[in-house]
Amino acid sequence: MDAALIPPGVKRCDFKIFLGWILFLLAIIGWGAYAVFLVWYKALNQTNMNNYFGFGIWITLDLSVIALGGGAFFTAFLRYILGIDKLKNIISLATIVGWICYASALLVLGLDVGQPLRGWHIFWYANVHSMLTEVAFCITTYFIVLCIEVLPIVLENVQLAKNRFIHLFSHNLHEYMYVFAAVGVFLSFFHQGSLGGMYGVLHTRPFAYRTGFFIWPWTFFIFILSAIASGPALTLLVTWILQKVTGRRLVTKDVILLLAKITGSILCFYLIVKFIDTWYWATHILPEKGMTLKECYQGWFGPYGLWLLFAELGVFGIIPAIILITPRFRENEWLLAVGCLFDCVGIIINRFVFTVQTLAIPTYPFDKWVVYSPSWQEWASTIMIIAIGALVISLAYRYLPLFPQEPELNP
Amino acid sequence: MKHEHKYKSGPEKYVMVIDIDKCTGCGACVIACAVENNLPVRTDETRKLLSVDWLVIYKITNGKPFPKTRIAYIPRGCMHCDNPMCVHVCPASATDKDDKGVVSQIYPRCFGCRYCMAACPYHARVFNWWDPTFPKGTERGLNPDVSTRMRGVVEKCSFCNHRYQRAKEKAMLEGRTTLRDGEYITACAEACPTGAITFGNVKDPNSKVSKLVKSPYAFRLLEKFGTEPSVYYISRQEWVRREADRYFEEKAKKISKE
Amino acid sequence: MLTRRGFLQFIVGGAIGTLFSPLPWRMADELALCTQWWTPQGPKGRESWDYSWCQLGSDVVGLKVRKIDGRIVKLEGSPLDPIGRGGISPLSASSLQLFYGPTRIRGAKKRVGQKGKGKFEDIEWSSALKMLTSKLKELRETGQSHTVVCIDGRGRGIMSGLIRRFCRAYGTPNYIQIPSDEATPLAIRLMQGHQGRVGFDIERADYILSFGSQLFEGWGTPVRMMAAYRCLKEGQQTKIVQFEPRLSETAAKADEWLPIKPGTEAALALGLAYVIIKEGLYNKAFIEERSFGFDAFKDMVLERYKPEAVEDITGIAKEDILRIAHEFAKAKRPIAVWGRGKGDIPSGLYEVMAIHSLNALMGNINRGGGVVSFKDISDTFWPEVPLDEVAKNAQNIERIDDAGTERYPLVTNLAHRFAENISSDRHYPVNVLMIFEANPCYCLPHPEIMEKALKKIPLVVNFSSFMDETSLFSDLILPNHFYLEAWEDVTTPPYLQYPIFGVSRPVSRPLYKTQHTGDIFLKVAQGIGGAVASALPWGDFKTLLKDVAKRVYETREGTIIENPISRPWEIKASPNYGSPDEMWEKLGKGIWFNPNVKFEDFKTPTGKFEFYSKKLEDLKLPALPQFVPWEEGHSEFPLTLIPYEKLMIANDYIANPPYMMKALEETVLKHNDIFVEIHPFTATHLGVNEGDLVLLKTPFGSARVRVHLYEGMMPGVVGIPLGLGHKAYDEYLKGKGINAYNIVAVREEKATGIATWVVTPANLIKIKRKGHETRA
Repeated sequence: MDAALIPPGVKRCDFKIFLGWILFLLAIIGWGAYAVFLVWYKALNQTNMNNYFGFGIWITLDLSVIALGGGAFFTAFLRYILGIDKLKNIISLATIVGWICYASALLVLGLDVGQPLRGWHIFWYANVHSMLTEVAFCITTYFIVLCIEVLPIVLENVQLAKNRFIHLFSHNLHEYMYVFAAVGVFLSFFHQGSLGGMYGVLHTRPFAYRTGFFIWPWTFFIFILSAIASGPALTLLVTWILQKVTGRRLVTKDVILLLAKITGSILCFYLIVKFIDTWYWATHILPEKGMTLKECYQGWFGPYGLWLLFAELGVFGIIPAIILITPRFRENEWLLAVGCLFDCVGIIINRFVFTVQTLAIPTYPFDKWVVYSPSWQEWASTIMIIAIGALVISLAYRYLPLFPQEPELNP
Repeated sequence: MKHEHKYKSGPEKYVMVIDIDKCTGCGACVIACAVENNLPVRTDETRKLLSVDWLVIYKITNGKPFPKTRIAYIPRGCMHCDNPMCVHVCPASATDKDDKGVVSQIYPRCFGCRYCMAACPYHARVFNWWDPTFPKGTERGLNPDVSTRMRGVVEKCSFCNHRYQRAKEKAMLEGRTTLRDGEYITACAEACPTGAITFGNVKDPNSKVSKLVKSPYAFRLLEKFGTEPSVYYISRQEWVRREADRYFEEKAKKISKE
Repeated sequence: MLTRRGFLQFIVGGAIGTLFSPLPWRMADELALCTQWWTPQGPKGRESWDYSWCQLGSDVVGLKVRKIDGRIVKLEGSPLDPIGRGGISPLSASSLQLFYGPTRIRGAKKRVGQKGKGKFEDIEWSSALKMLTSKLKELRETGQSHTVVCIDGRGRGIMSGLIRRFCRAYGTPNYIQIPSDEATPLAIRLMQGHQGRVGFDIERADYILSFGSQLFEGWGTPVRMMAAYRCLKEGQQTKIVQFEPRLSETAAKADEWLPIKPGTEAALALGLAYVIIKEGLYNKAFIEERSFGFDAFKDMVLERYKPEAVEDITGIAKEDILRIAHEFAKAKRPIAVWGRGKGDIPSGLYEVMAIHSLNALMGNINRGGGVVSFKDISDTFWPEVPLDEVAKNAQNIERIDDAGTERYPLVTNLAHRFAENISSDRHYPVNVLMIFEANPCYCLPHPEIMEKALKKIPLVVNFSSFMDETSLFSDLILPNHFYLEAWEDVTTPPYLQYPIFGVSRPVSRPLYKTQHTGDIFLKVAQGIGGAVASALPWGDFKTLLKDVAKRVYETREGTIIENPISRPWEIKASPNYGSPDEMWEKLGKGIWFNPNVKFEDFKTPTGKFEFYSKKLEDLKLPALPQFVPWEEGHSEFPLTLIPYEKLMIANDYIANPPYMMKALEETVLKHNDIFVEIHPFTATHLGVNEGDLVLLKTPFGSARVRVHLYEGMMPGVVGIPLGLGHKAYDEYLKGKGINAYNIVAVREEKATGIATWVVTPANLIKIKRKGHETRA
């Protein structure tokens, strides 16, 4: 039925199966859209956030997708700036995944702020001292850049490309893509950093507070590192899932292993930095603020217990690092997937503790721990975001030539 | 990152001093604040972390078992810090520190990102999770000097800034440019039946507060965060100071050195 | 002809054009403020200030009233109030919400549906009055005037005097006060022979023993006690010792808190007396010259109240008893204070006598820093009532509540017997019941008996301003003005140490079709005519107040406050009013008060302070103070339930305004569940955790509650706040928590009939595990 739209030289599943999958995703999205409607119509009381938890699952989601979307700018950096040509075989997917992540982030921000119709105030009345202003400017401009990067991929659709103008336009865009890649890398560095800075500057929240370099707290750099260490992992994970689901080989193993190796190395570097940071924080910053490590965690196994620290840096830090850095492990297809997945989970936990646990810790000596768990509306909209991501990838995979190697690998 | 843009005040800097030993926890200040500042009421206000409260009273205990238990009350509004983290972080410049020491909040500009709430360790800032509601008919009693806030914005104690304007206007009519001690006080300070709350210009050497802040028993909440609050507390009971201030031990050492 | 191309050009061109106009920016701005469109704002206008007095609940607060274009927007404490001196209580500060709120009754109403269902129709005031007057007239003419009952919830001041006078002139003995502290006036009458005011000169005392009085939570007058606290803390550093089973806010502010077993205060007082007597620490001059029956008292105390025995009864260590007794006796102006809770959880007569004996031992009566007695204008103002035949006959008829009868000769009110007697058809049927500022269907123990009684009375007339529980059971509602709309008298509140008189003027036009209840009584009296009319000759309540003011003027005592005074009880007052008119004028702002009032001497049969009451002896009742233990609880109810009061909960005729509900701690109410306080030990014993749902059972009923673990609660004791669990009012109050009065045990003091509900045997039964509540 949709054969005319499918890129030449590749096979796609039966339209009916595809339609079923799309309808399934749309059902989830519909459920999420209802939650979104409730949030916008009835205001934020639909969430389980409160005056202690000004930030909840949405901000965690926001920070996580932005970190995981880092695959786009970093792969672009490797491909266009460092000239690792091999990566051209996976860059389209990385860009699309990045675009999805950033689009989701903006959508979630629209949900999360109390007055979405005033969103423009952040630009109009910008406070240059605020890390959040920096984030807003960089994310918005980077998203525009991402759109420009995504455009030629979309325009490669077989029907669109028939139009001569479109064809030439997309070709020319390709020529200058390194310019956008450079701009994107620059912007990404800043907003990934600023997101870290947002929390690192909070000298009133000892859990998140870090000293730093010039005007940037160390979290600024750690967040950039962690984004680089996890973004490509998501790209790899998505590739792996696509290959499993479609049963087709999409990218040659050398490309995947190369990216995995780079990711693994950066993850190791990140972990070393993070361990030093955690040690310095626990032994210097906390005591200076009159707190102890114990006061920052709800025992070992409480909702905000020390287990989180061990999960983040141990299970979901050291393990994926070992998998990705060791050639023998990463060459195993399944171990590689586990490594990438754990890498992503580790970063999500990191973003979670920085956003939510930071707020859960009692500030007053006489205050109590407060526990937050999201409402169904928050879950539904979050799941909707993931479903939208799946939808976009499904459509992109079916109708766009994302993987240049696919026709060769599946003769 | 050092966020210590030291705030420079003008000839006036208003501070509040709360004598914990005098506070009976009666809550008259809380009510006076609510009436003065048009705080909304919902039919169920038992989930305190969703309430719009500018002033709350913390009840602290000395942690000793019955019958040695003691309790004390700590009324807490906005600290109007001299190094206000909320002002640094607000992306839309919706909150500012003015030259008389008040941290203001521009409600129509706030777009509800709540970064300031994350930044404030005192939990002085509250969010409007709902459209504000008032019991039917009581809208007639709304104070015209204070605009009611809308859903989705952050609000907090303003040190009754509008009462400063009112006092200033009155003084101007009488041909004065400066305010007398006690002419501008917050609604809570005025209501307090035990006189536990004192409010005034700390730069005025004759004001009550300028004397009170020098008390050896005066302290501020979470001082070590470097926020430089404008609200001081006084208690002659050691356990109260210890429970209220995380850094009591260090401070006690400092006091004994001096 | 519009082509597709042309249309597109139009759209694109239009869009670009609009972008260059101010329109989109303006719209962005407007849209950003859209949520403000449906948020109400206070309209601006011209500001003006007025003075008023709030006398809701136990409050007596001078107010500055801020108005915008005549609309009241704020009530603030007036510095011209010698009692509160500028402070304000939570209730008076939030009373504006009651004034404007949705539970106000907007006009005269007549019941149409079943009683208790709350169905009413509007009725013209004139026909309502006609209905009431003709009914009263008819009853009087048919010799049934005694079947008319008046319930008065204010219980003091000119308004109460007016109602009492109406009853007397009309010819009914049934004037009932709810709530009513019977024990205090009775004890003072018996021991000092004084009928009038009793004041505690707290401000000048240097040692205070409080026997369960929640001194800073509503006892006496809240703002006065708060101001007193400030004065004690800034001045002489008075030591306050609180005996209470629970670490209340008062106990928290006291210098020493000694948890005492509930209901054993009398034993403790006598135990302290033991030490003082045994060691000869009492005021010998006073005892020898001005007291009677000391030897009998001494023998009894020395025999029965040894500190060891008292320790067993009260749970207070012997050493503490000795130490406190020494401290008390060594103080210059020690004072022992009674009146449980806000003073409205009744104490028995003998308990008050026991505590007051401590004051007598120190001779601290009728002097600065002690317990003083004097007359108030509301006691002395009223001229003799001319009684006609009907009224005279009525004096011989027994009261419906048995007060003053042979069985209960000492007391003047027995509200609990009123409901019981009617619902069980004892005595005669009641035809008309008039209720003023009382909510007996809520704030008396076992309100269901009162409901039953009200159903039996053919005409229940309620003057309530609010659709409260009692209003629901009324036949005719004739709503009174709210205090901001009315002329009201301000007379001496309970326990104040000097008399005051003030006039609270209307500061707002009536919002609704309400009428002053004082005016109604005067109008009805005129309607009845004859002796009733001549006993109540005033045209309206304002005229009556002017008369009272004139009488105050004629005393040539006291002074009207014109400037803030920091220690009003110490000043030498001289009249600053030249003429009655000048006085009336000045009363519009300040208040008359007389700190140099003459104290009333002992007017007992012996002319002395009677430790041993002659009157009680005559009645063949125990004549000495004593401790009467409560019945032992039985095994089914191993715990003890005590009601406690909070300043943040109004628990009488006035119920909580929304702001006070908002300010209530989360350990009192969670959604609609009330918390009872128990000690963590008790919780461990019962196997319950913080917030668990339990069934609170007493011999009188049960209720679903949650437990709050509180280190400051005596183990084995369960504390429940009074004032929640309303069945009426609006959604801010209705159905929140349970009404503790439903389940308390009422005990009658044998000798007097005074009902108390201090101690109730109880049990807590775990219902189920706490639900996983994620929201804080």
